[in-house]
Amino acid sequence: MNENDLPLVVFNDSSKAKVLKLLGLKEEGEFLVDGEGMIQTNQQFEKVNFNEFGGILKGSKIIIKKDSSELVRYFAEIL
Amino acid sequence: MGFWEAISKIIPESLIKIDQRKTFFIKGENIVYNGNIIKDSQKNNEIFSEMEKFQKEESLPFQLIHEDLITEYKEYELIHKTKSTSLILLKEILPIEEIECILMARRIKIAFEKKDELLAKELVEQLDKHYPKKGRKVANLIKPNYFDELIIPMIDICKIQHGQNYKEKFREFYEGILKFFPLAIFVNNDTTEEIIEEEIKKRLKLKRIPLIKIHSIGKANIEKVEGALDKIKNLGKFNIRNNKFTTSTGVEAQNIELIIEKNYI
Repeated sequence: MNENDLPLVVFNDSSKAKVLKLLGLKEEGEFLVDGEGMIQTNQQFEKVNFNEFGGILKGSKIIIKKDSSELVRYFAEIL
Repeated sequence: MGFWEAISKIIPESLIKIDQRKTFFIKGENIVYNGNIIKDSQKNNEIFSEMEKFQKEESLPFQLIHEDLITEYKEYELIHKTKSTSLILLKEILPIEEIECILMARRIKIAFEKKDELLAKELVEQLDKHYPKKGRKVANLIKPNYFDELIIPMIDICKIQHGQNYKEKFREFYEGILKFFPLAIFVNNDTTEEIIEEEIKKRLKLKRIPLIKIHSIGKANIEKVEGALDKIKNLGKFNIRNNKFTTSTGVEAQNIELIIEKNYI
């Protein structure tokens, strides 16, 4: 365990809506939007729906899909 | 005041342990901190308020992750920490897609080390899907440490030998190694006895290699290797070291070292 490790905030399907709300995001139509109604996309500029939402990683506030390849891409990018 | 500084004033002091990763699991309306449920709803609300403050910020002071991704996240984080030196070197030379392939392949090695062969199999399939031409080859080189012990040091050798052109030369070397790795043969279900025989002959023609390792898992694959060895036995004088073992799921496996004493090819 490294002191510099960022805290992890883990959520599941039962808390997903709450977490999104805390971060100012909501489901509008099919996709997630921010407080200003801007459709949120992942790093590949793909729109993300409520079921696909996998979290937000440090570096930017770009959301990720609940997909392993998003993690691979993130860790490759931050090297 | 930073996020953690604020949070550490909210959660009970007894729950804060220096050597533990700070992990908050939000389940419904409740928060579980490092396995301990915070029963005081007021404290939960205070923590939620702290998170809410970052709505307008450019970045979050924590990693927010769905529970389905958390194990993978921690494994990739571990790879990132333990292999960052070599990965950074590689990232300066290879395209980002190659780095992603290497990261995925390294996770397969972790699964094998944890003796989770079912997960390893699943990850190999995932890797095949993303990198059908080279993913499995990269994984084959990483698992028995060829990648760390032979390929990464070539970066320095390329620097010494080729100076400013080292990146291009390493890329050529890396592409070449993925096409043909002279020191080892990896046998899978698609590898026939004839292919193994041909691969051994190709390596024997190189003359300068002292040994060939042949990796195989599964009785059928082991038998194919033995059949091929029988066919090439007159092409040289060999000392064969056979390391047979059983995987954690009870599958027979073997690593053969074909030490070349005399080569008649």
